[in-house]
Amino acid sequence: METSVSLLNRAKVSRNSDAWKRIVEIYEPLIGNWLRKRSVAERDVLDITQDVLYALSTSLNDFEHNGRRGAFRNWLRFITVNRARRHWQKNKNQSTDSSLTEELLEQLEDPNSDLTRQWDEEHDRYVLARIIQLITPDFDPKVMEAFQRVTIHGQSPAQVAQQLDISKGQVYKYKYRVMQRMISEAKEIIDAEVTSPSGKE
Amino acid sequence: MESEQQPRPELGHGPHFTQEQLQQFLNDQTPAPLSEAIESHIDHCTDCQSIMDRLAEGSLAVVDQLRCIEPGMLDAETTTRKGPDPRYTTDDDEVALRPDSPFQLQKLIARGGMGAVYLATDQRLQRQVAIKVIRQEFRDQRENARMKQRFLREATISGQLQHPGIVPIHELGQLKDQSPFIVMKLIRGQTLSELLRNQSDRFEQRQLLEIFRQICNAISYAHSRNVIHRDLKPKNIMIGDFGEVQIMDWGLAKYQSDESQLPNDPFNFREPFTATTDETISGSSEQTNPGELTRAGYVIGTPGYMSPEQAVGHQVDTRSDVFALGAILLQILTGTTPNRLANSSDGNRLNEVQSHLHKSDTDPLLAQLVRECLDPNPDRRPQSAKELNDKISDFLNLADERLRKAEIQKAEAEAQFDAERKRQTQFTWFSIAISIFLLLALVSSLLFLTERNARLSAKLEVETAEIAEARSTENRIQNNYLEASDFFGRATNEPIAQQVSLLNQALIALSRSNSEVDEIENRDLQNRFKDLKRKIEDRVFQANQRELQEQRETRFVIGHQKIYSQSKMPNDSMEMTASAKVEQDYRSLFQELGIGPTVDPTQIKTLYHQSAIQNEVFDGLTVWYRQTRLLEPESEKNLWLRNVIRAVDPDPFRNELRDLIEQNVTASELPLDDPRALESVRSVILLASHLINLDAFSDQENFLTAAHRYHPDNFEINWQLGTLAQVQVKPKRPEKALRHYLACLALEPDNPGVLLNVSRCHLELDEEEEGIAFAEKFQKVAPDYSDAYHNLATYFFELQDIRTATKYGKKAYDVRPTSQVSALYGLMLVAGGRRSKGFKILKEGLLADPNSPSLLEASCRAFLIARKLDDTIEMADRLLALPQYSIDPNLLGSVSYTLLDYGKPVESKPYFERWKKLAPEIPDPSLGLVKIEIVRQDYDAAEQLCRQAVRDFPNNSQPRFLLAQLLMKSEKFDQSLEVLKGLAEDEDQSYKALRLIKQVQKAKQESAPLGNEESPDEDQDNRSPKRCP
Repeated sequence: METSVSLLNRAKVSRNSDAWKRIVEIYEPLIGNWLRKRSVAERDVLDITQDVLYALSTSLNDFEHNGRRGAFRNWLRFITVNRARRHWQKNKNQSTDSSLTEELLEQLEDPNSDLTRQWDEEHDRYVLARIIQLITPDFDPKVMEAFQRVTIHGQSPAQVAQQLDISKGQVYKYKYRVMQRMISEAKEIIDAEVTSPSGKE
Repeated sequence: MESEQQPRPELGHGPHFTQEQLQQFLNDQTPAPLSEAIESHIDHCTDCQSIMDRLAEGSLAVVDQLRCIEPGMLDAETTTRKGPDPRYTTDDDEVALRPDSPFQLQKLIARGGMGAVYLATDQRLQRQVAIKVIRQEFRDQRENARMKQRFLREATISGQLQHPGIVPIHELGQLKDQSPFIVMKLIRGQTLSELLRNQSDRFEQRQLLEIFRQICNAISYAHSRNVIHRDLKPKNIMIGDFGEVQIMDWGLAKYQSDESQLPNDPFNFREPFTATTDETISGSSEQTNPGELTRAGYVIGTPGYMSPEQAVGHQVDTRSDVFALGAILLQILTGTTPNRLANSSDGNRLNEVQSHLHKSDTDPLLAQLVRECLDPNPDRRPQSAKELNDKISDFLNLADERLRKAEIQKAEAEAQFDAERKRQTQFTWFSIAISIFLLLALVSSLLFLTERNARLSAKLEVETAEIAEARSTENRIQNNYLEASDFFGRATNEPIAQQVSLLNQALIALSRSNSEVDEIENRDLQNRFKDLKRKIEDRVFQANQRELQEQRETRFVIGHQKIYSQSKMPNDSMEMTASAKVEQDYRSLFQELGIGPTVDPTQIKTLYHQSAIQNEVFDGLTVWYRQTRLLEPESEKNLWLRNVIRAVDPDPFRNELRDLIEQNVTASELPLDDPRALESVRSVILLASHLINLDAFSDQENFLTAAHRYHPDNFEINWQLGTLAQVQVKPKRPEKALRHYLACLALEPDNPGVLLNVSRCHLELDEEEEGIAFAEKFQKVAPDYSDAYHNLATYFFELQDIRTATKYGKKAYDVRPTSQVSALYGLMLVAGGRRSKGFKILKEGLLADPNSPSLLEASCRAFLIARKLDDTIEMADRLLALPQYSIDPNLLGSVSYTLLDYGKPVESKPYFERWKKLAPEIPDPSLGLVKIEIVRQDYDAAEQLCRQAVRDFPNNSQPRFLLAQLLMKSEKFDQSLEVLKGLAEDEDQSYKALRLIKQVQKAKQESAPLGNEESPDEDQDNRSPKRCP
């Protein structure tokens, strides 16, 4: 079974790599927009986002998936809290117009808060969507179409086979191919393992 | 193997394929014939489809989030969907019965994810029934087979379960298009899901609990028959108009362990699967073992109601149904849809359940029951629906009992009160009072007793529940505490970034229990928990500080390297003196590190020992100290730095050296051959720097040559040896210098100072090509500097290649027109004949920097070339007026002679005198002065000066020749001949002397009639002795 190197692991090798650029491309808007949605002033958004990415770049190699679900996004969440807090401490006198209060940061620290749940959902959806975007050019449009219909739009393989005029086995193959690629690309970020032929037990 | 696996050609009834085979198929690694076989097999085999689904999804935990992706989040072009969304299409012509069917359709009752239920009449028995069909859009030949299996399963299983709480299936049938349908008892009512959703006709909780008890009852019956439902949820539970409960949808049910109960299977299926509906997940992780039909491995169910073990495809038993029942109970009690909890991890889910139960003020006994049912560990749940059923029944009985007691008490109290009122009239006021008092006392004590009993028992129940809950909370806190302290422990002695990462993970672990730690009674655990949290937060703070410090240190190192690199570059006379600049740079650099003259040296020692950049800090401190010592010796700053250096580098030997250096001892007093001095680079640099200050260059070179054997790869030592060989120690040895510079270059390939010097060495060795190549390299790393081009221009100028020299002069001038560059370029232009441009550049340069020695010198030379004597005098005077400047004696000589030669003998005199002072070792200035007197025809004065010159330079023939000529001129022929005879004895001078003797003798003979007559040729000869043949 092919074991390809994930985006995260490629990024770990070098901060000059395309992979790291991709990570930045994914996480910069994610964190930035998350902060913007909380009405954080643009200047602070940029500072904090940059701080978080810097921290990410310096400690990425130390990140090891602990097997817990959501380890990466939790880690990122904590970095964000940490950096945002440090940012406020540093600029105590300047930025008062932001709504990212200490109270909110505490909520974001709390794994059971609604805010954290929102974070998790936004993270997973956004990252999945971006990963799909990322790998789309590598596939035949028909493959991607079949994949999206089955997984995202929830159509049955039978329907998709009929609509795209391919066999049902083909639909399964397409879905398999894209899913495997997606998982291998993003396994640490979205908690997945590539299925091994031996299966579980 | 393959032939065994060949499926029979008829509709998907062949044996299953192994997971490996399917995986190969998905990977396109299957040979064509087998591939076709698989293709046609999977068309019908739900098992294999599910296996492939699972293979595709792997362990992607967030696969359900895929459904939540909005098409807008993806590229528009990849989401082209043609026509209406098939999920929302409807078709009225959904149920076309066969003409001979006994059923007559009446209306649609309900529509689900994949199926639809119609009201129909069974014309044979004239009873109304419900008919469940597959929805049109999911219906095709392939799906039919799959649904047939599911319907058959539903029919067979519920056919075996005869229970009032389980909906009876009457029969199976086929529609016109072969798709299957199921005929079952018609239940008029609504699903539990609808019931819970409709707030308006909300049942009382008591009624809902009664319904729940019935559900438990029905399921416990199924469990007693070894049937597990596996998809229990409010949508699958019908509540009839009379409150009767009917569990439906047994299509996912399975037998727990007893294979023999599986009926004969006409469709040859092994394990039933549900279709992927909107809310039901199905899949398989493992090939079914035919011998063990009911083994684990399938993921079937609905998120939120599905137990963790079911969700991951582990073995499922009655306790999974108990989990689902717990989820339903939670929904009944709190209104929370468990769907919303589905994404939480196990621990979080329980916390969340707890908070919902808490908010809705649930009876503690029931709350405890819900938590037990939803425990991720099946062992801690009630072990079957029966157990749950019993508990709920107990609770309801207890509640009824309580209610009944309360009612009895109320009735009794009322009865007592009524009786009292009746008696009231029959007693006197006194007796009334007494009776009332007694009775009230009696009643209240009675009431008190019963009530107290009730309260006590209730309290006891509450307490038991609370203790149990507290235990599990404590366990959870304990676990999180242990996990956090594990991370915390690992964070020590790690690099800072890793520490932060580990500490964050520790905080994550603690944060899981942050909100509940205050609720527990265990003070010790509470304290330890909070203590650890504080410690971790402190460490995170420290780590952050450390990180900031690291950033500061990085900036320091960069700044330090810049200064260091700069120190290897040629000084720019335009700027402030190099030392002052270096001093200033270090002052601000150290300030950022928190090191400045107000900080106590011992404190700096601590800072230094914590620092990761001790070498850079130490080097910086030494250089800084050296500069302050040059600029402001004995100042407070200088003394402070002295103490700082001794504090951070308390080496006793080096302190001895420092003592010696501070006393400004000479080179011979330094222990230059002490091995201790040579072994440590710090000592070497310390001593070498002092030798530089002493200008003891040859001592420095010897010392460093010895040190070089210890430290052949030290940059500074090589650098200093290079400059010593190149410049300071005569004779110049560019080859040796080059060797050391190349060693420097190996250490720092882009050091501009080294590149420049390498280029210069090559030029000095007449290696033109290399010189140019390294000059270009220098220009690349130091584009703001013109020094390399300047060197090239000088080199070619000295070679008299004015054309090439001008080319580089222009380049240098274009890069950076410093005074030196302007001076050289201007002079070259004048020398090359482009006078006006040259003078313009020189003039502009002087306007900008009127006291630049190089510009003044160049201008002076340029004016000499152009024979502009007045301008020459001006420039020479300006040069001589410069403080701390020593003019080039050759320039002074040229100025003096040019003035003398071109008719300004008087004006030339001060320059000759100046020259004489500057170059006392050559006779030329003295002879010039003699010639001035000759031109002024003051022969006596001339003779006097000349005789002095002869005495001053007894070994030089020139003064004597001049004296001889002078004596001849003043007709002192004999004296002249005497001087010449002395000269003629010298073999080298004899030719010239003999020639002159002839002239003198001739003049002597002609002296009387001719008088004083001098040959101008001779005169010319003597003025420029160099040009003598």
